[in-house]
Amino acid sequence: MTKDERLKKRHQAEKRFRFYGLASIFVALLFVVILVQNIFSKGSSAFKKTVITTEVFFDQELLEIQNGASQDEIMEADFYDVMIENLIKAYPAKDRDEEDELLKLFSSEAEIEIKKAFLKDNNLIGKTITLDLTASDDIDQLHKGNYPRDLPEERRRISNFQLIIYDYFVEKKKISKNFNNYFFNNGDSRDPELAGIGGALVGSLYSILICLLLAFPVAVLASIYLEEFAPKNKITDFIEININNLAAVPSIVYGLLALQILLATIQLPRSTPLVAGITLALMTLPRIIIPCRASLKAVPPSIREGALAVGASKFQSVFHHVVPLALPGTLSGTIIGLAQALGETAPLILIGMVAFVVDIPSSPVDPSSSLPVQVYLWSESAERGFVEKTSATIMMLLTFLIVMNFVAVYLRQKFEKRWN
Amino acid sequence: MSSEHTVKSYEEELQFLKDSLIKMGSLTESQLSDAMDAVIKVDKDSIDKIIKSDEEINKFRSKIDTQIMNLLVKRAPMAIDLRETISSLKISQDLERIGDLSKSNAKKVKPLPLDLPEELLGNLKRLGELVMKQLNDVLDSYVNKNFDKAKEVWEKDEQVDDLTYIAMESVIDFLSKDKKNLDFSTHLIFATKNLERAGDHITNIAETVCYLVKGEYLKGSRPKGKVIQE
Amino acid sequence: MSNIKIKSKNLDVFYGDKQALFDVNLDLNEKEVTALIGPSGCGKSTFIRCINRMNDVIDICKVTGNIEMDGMNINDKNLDVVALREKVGMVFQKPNPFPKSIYDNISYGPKIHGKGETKSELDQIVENSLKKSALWEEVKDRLDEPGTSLSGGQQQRLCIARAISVNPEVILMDEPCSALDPIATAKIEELIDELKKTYTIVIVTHSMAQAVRVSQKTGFFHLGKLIEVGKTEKIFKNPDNKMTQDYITGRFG
Repeated sequence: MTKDERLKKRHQAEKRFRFYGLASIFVALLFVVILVQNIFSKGSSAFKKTVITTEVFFDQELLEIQNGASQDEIMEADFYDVMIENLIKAYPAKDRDEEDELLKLFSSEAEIEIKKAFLKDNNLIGKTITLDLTASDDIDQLHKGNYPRDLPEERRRISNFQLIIYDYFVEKKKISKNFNNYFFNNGDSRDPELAGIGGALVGSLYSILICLLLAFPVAVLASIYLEEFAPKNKITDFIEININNLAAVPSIVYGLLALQILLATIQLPRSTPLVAGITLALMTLPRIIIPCRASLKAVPPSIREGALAVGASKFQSVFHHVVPLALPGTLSGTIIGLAQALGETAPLILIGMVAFVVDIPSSPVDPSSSLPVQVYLWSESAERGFVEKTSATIMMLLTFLIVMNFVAVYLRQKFEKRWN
Repeated sequence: MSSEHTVKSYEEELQFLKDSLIKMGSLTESQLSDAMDAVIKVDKDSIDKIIKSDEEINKFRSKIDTQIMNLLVKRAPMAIDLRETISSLKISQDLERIGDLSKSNAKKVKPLPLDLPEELLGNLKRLGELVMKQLNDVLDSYVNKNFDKAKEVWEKDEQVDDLTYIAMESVIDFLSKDKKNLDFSTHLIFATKNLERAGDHITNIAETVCYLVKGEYLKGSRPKGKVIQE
Repeated sequence: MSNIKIKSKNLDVFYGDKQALFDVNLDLNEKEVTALIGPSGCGKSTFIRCINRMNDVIDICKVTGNIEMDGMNINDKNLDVVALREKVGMVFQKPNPFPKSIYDNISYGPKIHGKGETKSELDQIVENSLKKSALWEEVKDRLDEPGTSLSGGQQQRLCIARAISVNPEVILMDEPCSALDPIATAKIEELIDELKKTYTIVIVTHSMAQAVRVSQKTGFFHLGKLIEVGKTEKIFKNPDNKMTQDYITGRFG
């Protein structure tokens, strides 16, 4: 081979390699795009709910509220009759069955929605207002185009009569889509149109908070001790190997650990963010220790020597000089660890967060769910309405994760600039 | 333990300096000897040769000067190397002066008569031989880095002074005998003085060699012999 | 004549099984600059690190023998090294200012030793230290900028100022100019000339010329032994020991 031929071959090899690299990136991006597009297309509809615009007349007799009644008495009033009265008027129904079908078009929350509207403004006795009442799950899915209409009635969830009413509402522009506040405010529900991630979100937040409060100080102090103060002997090596191994332990094992010790032995309340937080903390500990140690190791010995030479004690040299420099790496490691913890499902399932929890937890010792577990639960459900909710929840999760990772990168860059 | 410089060119530069100095020393010795011969035998033909040879000595002087500057700037010599370098500078200066004095003596031969008294010539010859021996010894002591030999030369300057005194007396005697001898007597006086001066320069070289070898200056003043009141 | 500030007698240093210093007996005079020269690995850095007990940070290092300052045994196990390092400062080969502001670099030492409790006292200490290191004029308007934003020579003067800020008696310098350009080096040498009026200085250097320029006393180390020590002029003009002469004239093979 002549020199020129060899040179040509080398250049060609380079070009090929670059092509492979770009192709790999392209393929990876393609997968990401497909995934994101899939989720977004399924989930974006969950942020809107179908509402039926209805006139509501607050009949004083039906409400059984006297003039000059106190706030408490108003709260006690029964709005059921008012609801039935007004909803039946939405469309002429000729018999009981048709009335039932008409009523089924509205969500089971209709009574409470009417009550809430009334409580907002006390002067509504005897007055009529127009309300957007949440539609039932079937109407919601029908309006979003998820139910095929060209099936025989027995195989449809919506009866012919209901379809007629629906078409009538559409023609009269009484059906529209509003922002789905329930998705964010409500806890889990059997009714998809009412189900929300409120409970799971708060549950996740509490869990991560507890995880952070437990894992961060313990991990950082452990790292500082192991890296700066512990004598370099076989025991320390042994500990280091074990910590590295712990980071690789499947998370479900931590779930089992929590089940046995936290729930069975110590008898902490099941399915609570407290237990979830502790379990996640155990899991996140090694994931914080490893980057923290790496950051500490990366601080050049000249900084330590400089501090010692000026008369600082070992403790002062570590905490005044080394730790601040190791902080950016530690922080970004912590945030990434927390982001991983946010997405953990298996251990939380084991500690019982699969329970059906409707209420939004008000403290870390109230039973709750968590975002990824909620995704799991909804994905198991038969109702069509939960499909979009599952995808929407995944979108929320991904958004949190991306934001957390961006924060990690930003913090690291900001602090590293200060060092140099 | 190696005693050679790690950087070979440094070693070569120092060696070149020493060699140049030794060659200059040989030339000076010949110069001195030739001039002596010219005076004693009143040989007027050899004068030109001696003058030419002095140019050679001066050339050496420039070469050595340049080499020393190079060494100082390039190598920043320390300890023995520093002493070696500075000593070369001083020795070459003294050798050049000795060369000049020899040349001056040779020039003085021209006007001399061919019938100078035996005794006068004899004293001059003895002085000249002593000075030549001193030069030879001191150059030896430089080459062999011999402290004791150099010190001997330094001490023998006393003898040079004594012989100078004797030679001077015979010249003055010769002068006083016949006024017509005044002209060339003056030359003879200068020639004698030149030999004494050459001796002083040789003593300088001896001091330099002592410092070079021991790193300390010789203590005390030079031994002095009889001096003619000047 | 000068008093002896630091005295070492039969000083041995071991790194594990390997011996790094053999029976070193060296006196350092007060308010004088002593230079330590020798080929790499000969133990000169190890020696000065014994003076401020910086060898303690190396686990396998063991120091035996006697080393005293003002009659106080530096090797004493019960000696408070923090207090020792207040009296014996150190400047390193590569400038290592803290990644903090210039002001904080200088004020850190006094703060941890309890010197300078009010802001104005600290301000004064910072100004004095920077003035003594000939850096004040160059940085007085930017004390809040990070120490690492200065040039190499300025950083080293900052480190010297940092060492001075705690008012030590001895300053140890381990090849302080080896990372600097000639101009910065000249400034530091000028500084050393001034500083020796107040502090005892020990400087390890690879530059023979620098040792001659700045020191009054020079010690030559080789393979862990102190081969020769004496007045700088003597060592460089006419050393007693052939090894010393071979080293300084470049005859080491």
